Amino acid sequence: MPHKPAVDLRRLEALFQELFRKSEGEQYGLTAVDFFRILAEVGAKYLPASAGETEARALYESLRAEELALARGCAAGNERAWEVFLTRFRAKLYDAARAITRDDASGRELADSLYASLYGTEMREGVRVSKLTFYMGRGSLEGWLRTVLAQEYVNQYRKRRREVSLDEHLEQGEQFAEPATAGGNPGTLPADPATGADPRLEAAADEALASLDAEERFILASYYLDGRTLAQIARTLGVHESTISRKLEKLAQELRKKTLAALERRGMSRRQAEEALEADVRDLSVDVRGRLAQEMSARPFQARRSRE
Amino acid sequence: MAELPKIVRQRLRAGGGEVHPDADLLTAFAEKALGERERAQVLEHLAACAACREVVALALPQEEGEQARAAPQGMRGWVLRWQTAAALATVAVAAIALLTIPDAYFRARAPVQVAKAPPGQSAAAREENSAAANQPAHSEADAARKQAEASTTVTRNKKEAVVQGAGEGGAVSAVLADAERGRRDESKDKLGRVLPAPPAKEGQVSTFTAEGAKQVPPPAPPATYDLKTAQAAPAAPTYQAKAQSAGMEKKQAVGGLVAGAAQQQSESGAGKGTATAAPVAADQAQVAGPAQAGPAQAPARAANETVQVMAETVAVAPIWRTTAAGGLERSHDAGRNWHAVPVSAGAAWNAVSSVGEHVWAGGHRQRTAVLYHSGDGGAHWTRLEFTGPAGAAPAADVVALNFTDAQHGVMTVVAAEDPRLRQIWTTADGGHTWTAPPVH
Repeated sequence: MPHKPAVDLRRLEALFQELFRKSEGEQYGLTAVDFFRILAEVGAKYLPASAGETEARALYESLRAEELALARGCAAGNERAWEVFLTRFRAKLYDAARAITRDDASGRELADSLYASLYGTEMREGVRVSKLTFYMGRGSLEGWLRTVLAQEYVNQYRKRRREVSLDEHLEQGEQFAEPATAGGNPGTLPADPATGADPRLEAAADEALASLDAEERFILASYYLDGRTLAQIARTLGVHESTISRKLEKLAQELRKKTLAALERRGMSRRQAEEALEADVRDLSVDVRGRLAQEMSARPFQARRSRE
Repeated sequence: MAELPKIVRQRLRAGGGEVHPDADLLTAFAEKALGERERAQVLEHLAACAACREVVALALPQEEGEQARAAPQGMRGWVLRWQTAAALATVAVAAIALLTIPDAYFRARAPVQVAKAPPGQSAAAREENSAAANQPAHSEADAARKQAEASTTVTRNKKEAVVQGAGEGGAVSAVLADAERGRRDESKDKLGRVLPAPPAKEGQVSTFTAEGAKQVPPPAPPATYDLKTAQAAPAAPTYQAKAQSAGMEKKQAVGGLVAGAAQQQSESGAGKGTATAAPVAADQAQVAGPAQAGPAQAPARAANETVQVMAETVAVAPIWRTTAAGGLERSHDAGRNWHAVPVSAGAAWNAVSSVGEHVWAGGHRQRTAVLYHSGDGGAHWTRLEFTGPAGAAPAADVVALNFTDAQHGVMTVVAAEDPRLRQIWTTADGGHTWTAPPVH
């Protein structure tokens, strides 16, 4: 929820002036006041209440001022802005859509649907609302367009999945989907899945995972749950893939050790703990609801590693 | 890679809140543009949210390698090798020709295309050219490019569009880049209908350069070429073509998005300017004619004029096409270089047809067929609020368009009520009203 940051933005006026000059917003019909208002909006969205001037300055200096002005110019219906936008991004938008869908026709359809929302087909209180209004300049406009396309694609997939009948799921054998490739929707997964697993096992696994930092859990999830390649994970994090490979090896061993130790602390012998870890939760019960909830996540995007 | 216990995988999957980071944050995360605090927050969410991980992964830009894999490897390698050989052969033959071809040949051709310049100007031009030729070039291609840039002259008649100087295509790398771009563009052209009939791209490079260098008359041009008209036009304005176009091409070669936009603006402006430009005064316009040149400048003069002759061989009318992305593009050099032409925001183009300065572009905007017309070669566009045949369903898209003259044309549209249904309409008034042809 946007809030008013503690920092007094008037102290950043010189920086705002400089950003406006860099943005060349005038050619897209923006006045300095319009642009300052946008900057204030960005601050309200991303600066925490406790942010000081240094943090605010760092945020504003990192903004893509020119692309922000361009996007807002388009959102306001400025013709010049649209000309520039189309010249610079239209082909890239369609290329990105094709890359995401891996299919020409679907790619075009996806890009068309986004393009319509960028243009602003939705009306709110008689005013056309362009999706470009939501661009805040934190990353490149091209990257933002790709991200919005990807979000749209995932959303479309989810909508389609809801339309597929349970019978079809059953025919496809998805109720017996192997958990490792099933992905999962964390938001819909029951807190206590009715798998019949020993609660001590879950608690131990949770404890072991909690000892890892966010990046380590991200790497584990990307590799083991999403089926990403080492190279894909490495690109996302901006490191070499050998680094990811080493981390994964280390993390897998570490997790096993920590889980066993946690189980032992919960009263299991070493042997019992090892046997418990080997048990396949699928064998304990078949939970169709749980499975269906899991496969709502990004299944079509799974197993790329195996295809590649 | 070591396996994870299944219970650990299962618990790893648990978590993730309902509030997802917005597209800005995910983009900035992928571009490593976040501060520590925000990066940690986004990573924390990503570690638990499969959907957002998926979005980040899908939104990663394609790597060059991945894009290259889209093309058939074997064919691609073969074409590149072939093009490299052709380009190198072209440079070699051109270099030999510059040194060996007698001046008499150029004298015979020069009056047609080359306006004489005062001695002062010609000396300066020669000096510049000699300097360019004498500079230690990094490669033959570099030398060829410098010579071409220094002296490319272009002739055009009033009806025909700008001729790009051969200078922009002199370097091996430029040739390869052009060919590569051309092939990419060709593959994107979904209808292929608006592409002209220039020689096959590889062949075009070879034929054009080799024949230019050998100083044999150019091959019979395709129907859209108007070389004879251009040569015969007595009042055709001539001007120094070390023009914005060459500069623009360089910008495009750099490949920047901004450069592309700037180039397009320049292009439309330049096109408009040249259409109405009075002939440039001779003292500003041309390199020296052979009569004014001394023997010492013969090689440089030969180079200048050879380049000019080479430029003549690609003197063509602008050609148009639509791209798979729904864009509209124009080429002034027989399809070697294409430039996006903005027409109207929000529209996607499927079809284009041109007759002289008249251009029609058809496509759709928000599931409604749109048709635009330009009477000045694409500098200005007007939407044609066309009327379909009586009783015909509204059109959702224009998928094909062909005008035989400024008034008569045929258009294929998609019916709004059923996208599988195609209708063919004809016009006799430049596209304002359309009728369904009689069924026999």
